[in-house]
Amino acid sequence: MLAENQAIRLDEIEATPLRDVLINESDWQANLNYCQNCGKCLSVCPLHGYSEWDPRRAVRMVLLGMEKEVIDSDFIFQCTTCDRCTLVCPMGVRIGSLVTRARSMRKREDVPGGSQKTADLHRTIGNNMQIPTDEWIETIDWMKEEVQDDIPDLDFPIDKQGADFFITINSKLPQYYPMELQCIYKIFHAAGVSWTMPSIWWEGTNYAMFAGDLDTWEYTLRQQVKRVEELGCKYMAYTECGHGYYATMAGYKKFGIKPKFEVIHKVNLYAKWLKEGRFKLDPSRNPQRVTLHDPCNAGRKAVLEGFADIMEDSRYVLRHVCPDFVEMWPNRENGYCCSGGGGALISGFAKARFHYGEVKVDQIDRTEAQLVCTPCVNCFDAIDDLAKEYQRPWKAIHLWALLANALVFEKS
Amino acid sequence: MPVLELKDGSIELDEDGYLKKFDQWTEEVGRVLAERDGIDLEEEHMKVIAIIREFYGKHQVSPMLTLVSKESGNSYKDLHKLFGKQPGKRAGKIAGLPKSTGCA
Repeated sequence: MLAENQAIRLDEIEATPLRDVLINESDWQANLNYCQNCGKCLSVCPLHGYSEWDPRRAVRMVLLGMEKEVIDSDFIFQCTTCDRCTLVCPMGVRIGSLVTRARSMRKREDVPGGSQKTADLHRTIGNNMQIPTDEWIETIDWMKEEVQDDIPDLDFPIDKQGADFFITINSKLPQYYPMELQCIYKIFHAAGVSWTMPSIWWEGTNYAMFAGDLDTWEYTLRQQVKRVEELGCKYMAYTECGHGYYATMAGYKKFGIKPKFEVIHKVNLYAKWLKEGRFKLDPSRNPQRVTLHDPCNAGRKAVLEGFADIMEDSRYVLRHVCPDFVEMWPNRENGYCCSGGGGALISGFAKARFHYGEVKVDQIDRTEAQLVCTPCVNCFDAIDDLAKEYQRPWKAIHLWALLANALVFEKS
Repeated sequence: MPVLELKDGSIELDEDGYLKKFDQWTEEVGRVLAERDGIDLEEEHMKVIAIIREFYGKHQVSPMLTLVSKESGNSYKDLHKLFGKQPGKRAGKIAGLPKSTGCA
């Protein structure tokens, strides 16, 4: 660390692998040389004000060869990689990419919290909660039996060869709240499409990206692609997860993976099927006031990267299933992070999260909503954590829960 | 760091309010953790907690809700009534398990 007023001697700067990568890696579009030092990035950063760190500081330090401090800082793991900084940068500097790349240069054992362990589990067993295949299948079947009490003709196979849709699921669902699987079953059944629940490589998250473990990020993507292609499915219906969807779409681009199927986020599917008239709905079943949180990874960051986002489709569905839907402000690309992005939920920096989560709390309060629709599992937890920390009565709900609740099934 | 106040002394929790060491759990610790979530522990809660703790003690990972449901004889709805939203996660926290991996 430099002493105060100590000059930086450019001829004494050590090797700068982070800067070298960020200036030369064209697919990340993180050309730091374009930084104008204007400070727009720090003015929109949720973390700004929490410590002496902010995005501009990180960029300037890397440019000046002080990257070791950036790589060793808590900042890069407190950062939720929301990319609000990238959105407003007048020169298009990809500051979020700087953070991810800096994380990749930490030693694996120095990654704080549980992201690396989660990535390791995902790599070895195909899901990040260490759920064995037989227990996963038992849970799928258990939830199927429960929903068949009301909808006896609902059925689906596991690992069906040639099914149109391969479903991905966040492993948190079967582990902690498998009931929500029933919502997904109901929606796909109502849509009348051919679908299957995979027995392996069904995980719809990618904590390797959060941990900066580029090798495991690529490996898990390729294993999943292999499984989808083995089953011959046309589409991968991506679960309501922000970062998993982003890690998949951006990861395919980054690692040159060209799958033989199309990835579609479930929210985009709900909207498509709704427009096609596949659902019979009774929105009066969702009488509470609902607002919408736009997950950064499936919203702003999808737009920045150039793949399909879920922002308009989320609203389209909500307008049809909730009679009292109100917007937060600002929203869409200009929305605020839930406070749990970028692996922040398990990095161990809860104080930082609750500091910048205050902005989100204020946003939600102003809507007077009882429910916060969060089509992302991490956002779901982050919003509930904020409600508990700030003692608010509102709570998070998935879009699949609101849609499934409004679905009307004819009694046979 | 947050602390959990007990009758005799206190113990440190991690920043997310989880027990730092699995072995520090006692029934009193469980009760105080549960109170923070507005839950009064009764016999049925303790039965579920015992199953979770035994599983974690053996496997160093939290059990799936399917297993907890089967072994305790509680349906998912029952577990939801006992522990609220995301019953597996909440019961695990009250049982003194550390914060788990994954989207937790």
